[in-house]
Amino acid sequence: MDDVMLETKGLCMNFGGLKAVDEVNFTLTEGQIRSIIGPNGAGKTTFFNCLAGRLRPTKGEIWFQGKNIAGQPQHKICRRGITKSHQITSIFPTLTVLENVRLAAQMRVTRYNFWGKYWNLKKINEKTEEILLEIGLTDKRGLIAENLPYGDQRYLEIGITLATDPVILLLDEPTAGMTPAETQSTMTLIKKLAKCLTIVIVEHDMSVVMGISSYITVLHDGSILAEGTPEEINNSDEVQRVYLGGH
Amino acid sequence: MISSDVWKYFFDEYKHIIVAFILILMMPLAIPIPTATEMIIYGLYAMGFNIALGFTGMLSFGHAAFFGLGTYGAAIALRYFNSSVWTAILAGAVLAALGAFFIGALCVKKRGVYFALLIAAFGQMFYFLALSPLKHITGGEDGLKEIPILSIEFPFFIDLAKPFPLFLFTFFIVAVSVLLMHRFLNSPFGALMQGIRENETRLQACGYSVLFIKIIAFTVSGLFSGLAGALSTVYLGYGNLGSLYWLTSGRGVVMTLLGGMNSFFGPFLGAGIFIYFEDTISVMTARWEVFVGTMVILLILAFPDGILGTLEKRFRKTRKAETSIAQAIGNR
Repeated sequence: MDDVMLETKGLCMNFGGLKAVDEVNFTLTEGQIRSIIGPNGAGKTTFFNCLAGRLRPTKGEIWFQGKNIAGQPQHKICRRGITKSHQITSIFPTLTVLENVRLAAQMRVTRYNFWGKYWNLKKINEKTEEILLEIGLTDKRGLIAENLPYGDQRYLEIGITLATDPVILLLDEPTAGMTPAETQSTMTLIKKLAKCLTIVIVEHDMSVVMGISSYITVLHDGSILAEGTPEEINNSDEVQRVYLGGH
Repeated sequence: MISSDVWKYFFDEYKHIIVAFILILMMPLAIPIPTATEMIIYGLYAMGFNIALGFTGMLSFGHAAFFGLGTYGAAIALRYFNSSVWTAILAGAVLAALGAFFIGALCVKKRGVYFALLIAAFGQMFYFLALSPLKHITGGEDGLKEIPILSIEFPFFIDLAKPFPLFLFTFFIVAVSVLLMHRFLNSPFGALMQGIRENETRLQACGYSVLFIKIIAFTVSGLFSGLAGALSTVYLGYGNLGSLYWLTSGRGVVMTLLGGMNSFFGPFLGAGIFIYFEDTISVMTARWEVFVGTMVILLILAFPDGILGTLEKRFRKTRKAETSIAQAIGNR
């Protein structure tokens, strides 16, 4: 068995009487591209938000690097190395592309620097350039982020997430709303990133899921319905019934 | 070994400030000197206010608290402790910064209107404290009077009772503050503040403590507002109770919006225009508010992003050039 990166034990998240995430025991091994699929309202995004610290789980543990991080605030979890990109594009709209990435890139270098000058902080600039190249926005670095086409905004969002140097990257529907061509290049990007990162994806597009995942978790009504390789999931009768819509 | 690129970048960065300073120093040629002094004091106040509003996205309806803390901090130091003008100004600024720190720490968890009104409530609290419970210290409604005639002894003698030396002294403090503010707002921390204005949740997700950044930004905003308040004590020669009144907060908001909250010098220009109109028109008629109000409305209709904000937007080349110069230097 590979190294376990992240493990949840009995993770629960209730909203009033609704059990959005119900006793989830989830194990993530290093270097995986793990997809989480499930019908709408299955608790995928809630589960993600618990992992990333955006929500404080009602009950349960999240083990990462030998520590239970459940309930820690989001910025602390991000510094530990778990970063999430958002389902709805979330960038800094009136800043330039470069400034967007740089804001995230400076986190590991100089967190609260009241006096520095960017042109003196070589490490930040290098990191920013590297990320811009990776997401293919080098030429657009001077544009205001809100003026970018939608697909580029999604890339920028991934770039911001990457710039915080995550160990585990949580991507919430990275290809939502993209054209087929953009989806293809996003898949290529994700595969490339997976060489040095562990990636968890929530995705609805089954061709993406089947194309890139090394392992799939199916959520249904807040708990895990099935787990397995893409073939196993594709051949599972139960998954076909509740989600994939086969007969 | 500094190449010409670096000089070019320095010049690009500071040319606006140099032009602004020259214009300010030329003001006494056209405008009565006391009015000019008041204009730059309120200019500093509005710029301090805009650190919170324009750069961090925190609208405060209670900045009078910090302006007033600066005013009374300086007045109390001068009146009861017989301190020098330097110490008094420092005392005012530090008192305002402390006030902003604690009030900020209590309020920054709230956003938008709730934040604005909470701060406004604190502002009024200080006003009423100075008005009656602390009357024996603050002088109540009359303000804190009986401040000795002021002059600077160190490093050389300046007679602050004369308008022109007072103007130059005020300009000196304002200029240093503007340079400090510029450096602060262009630092990596300043970028984080803009990140909060743009998208607080996203910044939190990038590993920064949003509350911490907001508290610090608010404290610095209070510091410079308080510094302006302290200068107003030196300018008026007494601690003015009106400095704590909510109208001072309101004036800050109007000045900032008039000049442009997305521009570094916008609030300064807005404050200058506002004070100039107020001072000249109030001499002619008791109902000066009607005229100044109408003028502000017309100006805001003509310049929706504020005067300087709108002009900058129209004439600025793309920001591409700016960022690539910085980047080229950074990557050498």
